[in-house]
Amino acid sequence: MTLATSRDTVLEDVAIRTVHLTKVYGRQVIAVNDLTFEVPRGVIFGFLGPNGAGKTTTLRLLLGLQRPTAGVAYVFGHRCGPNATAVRQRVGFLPTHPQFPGHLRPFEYLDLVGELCRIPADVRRPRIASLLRAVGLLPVADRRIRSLSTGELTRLGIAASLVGDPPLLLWDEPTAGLDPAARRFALDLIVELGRNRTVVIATHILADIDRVCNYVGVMHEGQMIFCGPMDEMKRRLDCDCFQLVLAGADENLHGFRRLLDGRTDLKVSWLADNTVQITTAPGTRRAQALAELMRLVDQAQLELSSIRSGVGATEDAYLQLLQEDRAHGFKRFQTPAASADASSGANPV
Amino acid sequence: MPLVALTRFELRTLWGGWLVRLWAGAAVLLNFLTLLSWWQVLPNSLLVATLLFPFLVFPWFLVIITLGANAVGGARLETLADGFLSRPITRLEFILASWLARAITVLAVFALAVLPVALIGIYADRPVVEEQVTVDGMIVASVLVVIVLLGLLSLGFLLGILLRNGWIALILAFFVWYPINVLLATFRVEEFSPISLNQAAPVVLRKSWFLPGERKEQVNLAALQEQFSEFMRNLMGPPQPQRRERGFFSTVNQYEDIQPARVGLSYGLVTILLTAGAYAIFYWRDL
Repeated sequence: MTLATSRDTVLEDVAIRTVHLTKVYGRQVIAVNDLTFEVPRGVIFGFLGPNGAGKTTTLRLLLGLQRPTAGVAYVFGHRCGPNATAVRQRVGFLPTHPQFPGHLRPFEYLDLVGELCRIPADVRRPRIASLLRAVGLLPVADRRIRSLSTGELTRLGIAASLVGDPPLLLWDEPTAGLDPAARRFALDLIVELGRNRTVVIATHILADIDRVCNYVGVMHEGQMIFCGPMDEMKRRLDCDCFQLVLAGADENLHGFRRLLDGRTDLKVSWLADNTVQITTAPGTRRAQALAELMRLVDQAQLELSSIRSGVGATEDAYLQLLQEDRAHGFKRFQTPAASADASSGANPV
Repeated sequence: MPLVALTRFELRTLWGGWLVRLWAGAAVLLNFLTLLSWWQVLPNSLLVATLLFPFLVFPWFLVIITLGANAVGGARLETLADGFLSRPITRLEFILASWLARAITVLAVFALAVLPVALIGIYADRPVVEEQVTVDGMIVASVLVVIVLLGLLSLGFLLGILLRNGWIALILAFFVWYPINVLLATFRVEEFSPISLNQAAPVVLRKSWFLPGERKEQVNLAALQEQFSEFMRNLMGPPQPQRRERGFFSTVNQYEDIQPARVGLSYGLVTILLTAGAYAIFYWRDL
């Protein structure tokens, strides 16, 4: 429900709301194209899209670092813009490759950020000490920022985004350039923070989205082609699939191949000598299809090393969305009336 | 609080860099060498004017423009945008802090390089012609020079933000500032030119600007001179426009008519306009 209170302020139960947001650079490059979407409060929102889709530009528009060519954006009901301190007071931003003043030390930098967030010293300093410990930067707290590694810089960026204890986090590719341990740390942190905050993760790494997000928006060529719960996106897949990793003698594997070749209700693709991906026909019950597959494995006297259901579901759904968007061609053009309908709906697509 | 925090950060960044440290060191050294070189030659007012020369004419204007031009641009802008402008501060606060830190730095280096040397030169027992330099004169001359320097800083600041590239801004500012003396002379406002100001400095230093008696006397003299001029105009017709001689330190008396308030207000207005222009450009900019 939306209550308009003034021209610039709208009270909403959503964290982010954009209406026909458009950004054109120099009347040449359309970075964000008539973008209308909403992010509910309290979700971990995966902001998906290929490189150049307009994710980062959208985040910068929300922060007021850039001005929209047309349209408006609201964060917790406050209109975004260059002087919208009320918006930035509620947002913790982590850029893709955060840049820091190298001559400062982590504590000094976070203290400065805290001052910019107008936090009193008696609240700020204990919080920063606690944050440094939480992100694992205590051992390097006495070093200058210029001597920190990429992973440590990302941790510092994370800490900086949390200094103001904001209810909304905008993290732009938080796992970019991180080693596996640092990546796991970042993803675990997102899940932890998502318990009492709205978190927006812009990335093109589907595995990250799959692991932590419960709400997703897919951008393509500056437009939001899907916005809704993660499960709904996965359900958009036309078919279900299973990936089986088998163990056994070569002749048994050949036997299994022959058994599958005879089935017209299954689409089979061998990923390796012992790994097969089986896609069931639309309308087939998953449990029934799986039981039948198990029977065939047993019949071929093979051992089942592992089985994964819904393999690549997010990736498949994502690619399918992009493909559908391209296939729509001119239908993607929205008339003002259609556009208004879309913006009033829950999932403008 | 953000304004103070940002200004403090900018000051720390500036004084942590080689440019300001080198400049401060070189300015102090140069002025001490100047003092030693002219110890037995120049009277007080001329000595102080000589100390002001590097700031008003050459070479420190280059450093001041560089300081202004490199404030907000290039890779630094990215750092600032991501690190600071994504926090709850306004762009006005950011611009003000950035300008303020540079202004404080310029003032600090000026004070460091000129004041101690000037005071030594004035109060030391030197074997030169006895000459009175007033406290008023010192204050007025210092304020004038500082306002000019802030104008120069603001020029670099505006060009740096406008062009986004510190080096291009520096080159452009150089071509704007260097011929300024010729340009001002062309429009018969030579009293605003930095060279003229430097040459007028001894006059400013010798005068007592704040004593009401002397001011009154000056006003009366001016009125008498105006009456005499009026009488001569009526008698002989309008005078031919006279070409003003460019004065040097030996002919400083030609600058008796300098009006510090006019010069100061003009440069002050230019400084405000340049800084406001820089803010307006920055406000409309995408980061």
